[in-house]
Amino acid sequence: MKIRSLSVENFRKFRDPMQLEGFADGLNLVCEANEAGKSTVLEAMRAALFERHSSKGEHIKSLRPYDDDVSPTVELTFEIDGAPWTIHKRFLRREEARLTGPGGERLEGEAAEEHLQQLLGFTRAANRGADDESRGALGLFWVEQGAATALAAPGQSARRTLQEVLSAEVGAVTGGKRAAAVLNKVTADLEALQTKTGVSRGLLKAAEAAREAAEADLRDAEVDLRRYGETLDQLDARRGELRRLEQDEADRDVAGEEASLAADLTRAQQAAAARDVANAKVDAARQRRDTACALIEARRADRETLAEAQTAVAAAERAGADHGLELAPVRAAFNAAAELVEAARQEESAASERRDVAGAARDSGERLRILLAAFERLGEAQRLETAAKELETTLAGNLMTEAALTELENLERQVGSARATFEGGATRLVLELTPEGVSAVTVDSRPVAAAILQLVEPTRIEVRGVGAFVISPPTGAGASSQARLEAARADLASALSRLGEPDLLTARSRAAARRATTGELEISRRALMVACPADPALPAAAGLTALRAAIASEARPTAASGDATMLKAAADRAEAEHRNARTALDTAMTRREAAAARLSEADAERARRLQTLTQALSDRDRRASALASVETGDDALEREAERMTHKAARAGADADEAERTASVLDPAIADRKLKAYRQHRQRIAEDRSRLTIEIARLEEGAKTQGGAGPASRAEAAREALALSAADLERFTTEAAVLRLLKDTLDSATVEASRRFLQPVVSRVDPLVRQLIPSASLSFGEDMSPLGLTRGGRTEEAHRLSRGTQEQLAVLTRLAFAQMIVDKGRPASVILDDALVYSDDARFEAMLDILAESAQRLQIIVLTCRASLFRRMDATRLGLCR
Amino acid sequence: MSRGQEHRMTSVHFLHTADWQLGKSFGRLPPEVRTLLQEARLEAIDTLAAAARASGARHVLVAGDVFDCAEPGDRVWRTACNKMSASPDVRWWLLPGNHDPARADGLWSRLARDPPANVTALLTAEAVEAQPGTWILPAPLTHRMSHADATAWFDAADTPPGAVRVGLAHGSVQGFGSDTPNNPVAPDRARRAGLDYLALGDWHGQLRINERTWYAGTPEPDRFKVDDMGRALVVAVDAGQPPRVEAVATGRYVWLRAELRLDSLADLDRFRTELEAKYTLDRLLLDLTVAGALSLSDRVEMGARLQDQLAHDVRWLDMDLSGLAARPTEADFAAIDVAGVLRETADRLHREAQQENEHGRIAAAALERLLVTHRSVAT
Repeated sequence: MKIRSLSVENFRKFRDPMQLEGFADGLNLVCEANEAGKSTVLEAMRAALFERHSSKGEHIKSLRPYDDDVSPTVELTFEIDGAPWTIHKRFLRREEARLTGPGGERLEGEAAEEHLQQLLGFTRAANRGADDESRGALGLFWVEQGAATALAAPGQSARRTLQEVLSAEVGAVTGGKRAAAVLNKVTADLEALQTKTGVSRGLLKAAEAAREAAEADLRDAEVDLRRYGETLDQLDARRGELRRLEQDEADRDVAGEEASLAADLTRAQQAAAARDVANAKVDAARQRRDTACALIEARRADRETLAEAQTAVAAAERAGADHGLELAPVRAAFNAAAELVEAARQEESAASERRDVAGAARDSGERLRILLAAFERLGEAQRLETAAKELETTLAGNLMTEAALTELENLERQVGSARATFEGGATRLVLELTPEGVSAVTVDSRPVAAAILQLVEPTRIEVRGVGAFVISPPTGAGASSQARLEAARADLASALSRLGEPDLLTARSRAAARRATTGELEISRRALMVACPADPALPAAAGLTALRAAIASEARPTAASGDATMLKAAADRAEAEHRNARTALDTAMTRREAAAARLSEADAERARRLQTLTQALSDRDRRASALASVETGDDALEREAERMTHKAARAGADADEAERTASVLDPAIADRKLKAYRQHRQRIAEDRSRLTIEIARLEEGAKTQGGAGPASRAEAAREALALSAADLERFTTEAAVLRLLKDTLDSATVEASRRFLQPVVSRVDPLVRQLIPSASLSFGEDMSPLGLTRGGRTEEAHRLSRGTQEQLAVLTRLAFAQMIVDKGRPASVILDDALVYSDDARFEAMLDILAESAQRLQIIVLTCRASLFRRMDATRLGLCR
Repeated sequence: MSRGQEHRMTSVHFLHTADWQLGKSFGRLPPEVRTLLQEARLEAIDTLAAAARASGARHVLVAGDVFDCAEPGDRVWRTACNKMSASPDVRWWLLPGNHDPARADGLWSRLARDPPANVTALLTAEAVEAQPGTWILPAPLTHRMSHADATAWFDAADTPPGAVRVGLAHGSVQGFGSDTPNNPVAPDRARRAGLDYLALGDWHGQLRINERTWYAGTPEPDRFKVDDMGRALVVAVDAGQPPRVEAVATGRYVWLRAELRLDSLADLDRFRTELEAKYTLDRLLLDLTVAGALSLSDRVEMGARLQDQLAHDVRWLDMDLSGLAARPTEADFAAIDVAGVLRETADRLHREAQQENEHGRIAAAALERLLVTHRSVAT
């Protein structure tokens, strides 16, 4: 197939008619700037072939120029096997399709569409517009902008075309639709039983579950059955036990075991009693024998004790006598000491008396001396007192104390002060009158008294014969200060008068006299105090009054009687003598005390010895009388003891016999046996009761368990298990069969695909190796590129870089197109802005590949990058408007 | 005339049956079939009663295995008792067998505690006077397996002079079947013990051991392996005479084991025609073993006919097709495809199916499945 020209009108960007003509065989390059409408060119070619002219779908509507209600029109001229064809289509309004063939034959409408489909091998587009599916192989080779970057599988119809081509080439056929349907069915059947990973599901899973459930059920049923069997076994065992128990009881009753044991007990008890009696007899005989022996022994002891007592009496008597001799000197020593004490006492008494007399003499002498001194002091003091009284009288007559003087001085100062004030504020009138004038002049109707007048109020000075002058001093001041001056003078005069002083001067001298007198009085009083000190010996406190009181009752001694010092010495001597006497008395008394102690000790010793003697006597008497009082004689006692010894021996033999009997018939053992027997019977009774209850319980259990039919159930469960196992087996086998079938189908399919795709690989690989040395591209059965192998390593196609993916996508399409053209089918390749992700080296390689492919294939490249393709040998076309 | 001679004149009519195995679960069969078979076993009691009545017998002696197991559940034995008491003119004598041995406090104890008036469970080895002058000597089993002959005591069993002595036992006649029989019964017991008749149970087919010793067989067939099931025996004993024994049919279902050799589909058609002529198909349980060799498509076709037709027509069909070889023909392969994936798959599976092992069998089945699937897809 070769495209030769395209013209469009009212088609998207091309509102106005546009022609693109001169497409040559081989490589064609439509190089236009962005937005010029390159992609619209591809869209128009597609519309011309694949879109139905009658379609009103959204896609068709979108072919109109924007916002314009016109009929997009497109006409495409192409050649197939050298024969020219033209398809003309108008869409939406007055839509039409017209196919003109090589011989000028024309087909219109649907007929044109159908013929076109047959001619080019695509299918009728759906209502919503053509798609990859309907466009078939041609669509695959017409790659719109951006679509070449993904390495996707070709659409189904394209694939079919390729497969048909390939089938013709390799001569192999796949199962086609049938194989796919079989595979689908088998897969579905298998997946109803097993997941892809082999996990059971559906009926198989249910069968597994059923078998497990059946196993569990069987286990349960067998457990129940076993339990039931055990219940019956237990029941049987318990019944046997009960029977044996009852038999045992009956046997014992028949044998009269209890009565026999009771009789044993009685016999044993009797034997024990007999033994006890015999033993008691032995004990009694032995006791009497022992009593007799004890009496004999006691008498011998008594006799020995009596002898000892007599010895003791003798010893005590001797001791008393000895002590009598020792006592006399002690008593004499005491008496002598007592006498010495008496003498010392008398001596001490006399010394004491002498000491008292001497002391009294000394004391009375001392008193006289004190009194004499006191009377002397009194005389002096009384003289001083008289002088003081005189001074006091003088003082009483002089009132000018310091305070009075101070008062007067103050008053004097006040007068001075008042005068100064008065003289400053009054009008001073100096009268210099002639003596005659004196009578002629009156002041305020009074004769003039002084030459200078201090006027303080209006004053009328009348001069007879002349008239009068009234002088008015300044109002107010003069009068009051004059009054204060008068008052001060009055105060001073009053004070002087009160003190009896004529004037201040006199008062001052009187005050000085009073101060002198006061000083004298003070001196005289001090002297009085010195004359009357405190005298503890008198005794008297300080002061005249005390002195006077102390000696008021005493008569004044005439003179001192005797020498006080001498008297004191005598008294001291007497005192010393008395002390000596006292010491002597104490010594004597101490000695006497010692003697008394010794005497007392000796007396006590005597008393003790006396008592020992008394006791020894009494003891001796008591024992003698006791010994005398025992009636039985020693012989009788000896005989009794011997008799009882024999009797005890005989009774002992009896007791041994009884013991032997009793030891054979132990009542404790017999009692224990009887008790044990009764306990045993009790236990049997209890066991019987327990067994009866247990049997009843087990019977009930057996009834219930058996009623449920455990054996049937177990059998049914076994059969159910077998059934479910068979089911499972069936489904397992079915799954295995399906699995094998599917695996075989899969592997046959892979194998077929591999063979089938060989031509694709052999075409693509040389191209790939031009681009990437030593690389190889593998394909899936849907002809999608699977992986790129280079250097022994395979990369999954979808993980390759975008650039590489795009390049491989273009290569693959070139190979597919080549293949189809080789089989004489129509194909041309259109690349819209492809290879945009290629680097320079790859781009160059791709250009080479394109150039090479273009030798057998028409290739139309739509690009906006003229420079990139500059070196290419291609037919260059431009859009002609 | 002595009393003994008087008895010598006695004659007795009774029905001898055995192996009812009531409560049998038939668990390997589909539930609906199971229910029918279980019901048929119970209804055999009515059939037996009717047969007894028809022959003038007043006693039915059941020689063991009345129940399928020692503990079938209260419901089973009560239903059975109800059935038996519904025929009050017949006296039923039941003997525990190896399937339902008598155990203290077990099934039989419960049944014997409160039996219907006309039912007697023979649980102890002692002679019972069934009717004046006629004594039954029972040999009840108390264990599932025993190597002692439970009938041994018959020899010394005391009955009044001239009495009719009928032994009732369950077990294997020595030398019959297995080498070391369980629950053995001496084959000459009847002679040794002076029995007029020894009624035996255990063997499900009817069988004469000697003139006076018989297996009655089960009244309702329950397995494929045994012939002459579904019967009972009417026994007439005239004192001093050999018993007159007559078989009566009682079974409802037929259990048929058949082997079919198929070389073409026509063989199958023939077989079916024969079956229809001989049996009522909905009372037939068929265990079919098919042998032969068919083409793959014939084999598929045969499978479909058996599975989709015969299996529905008979009460139950159990098939074993393992002996039927599929020999795929070129036509079989061509029907799949002449070439391509399906053909390749068929060829491979056919090659693998030649292996004489499990994988080979699975491969053969897979090949068949391929054909079936291919057909279903093609249509």
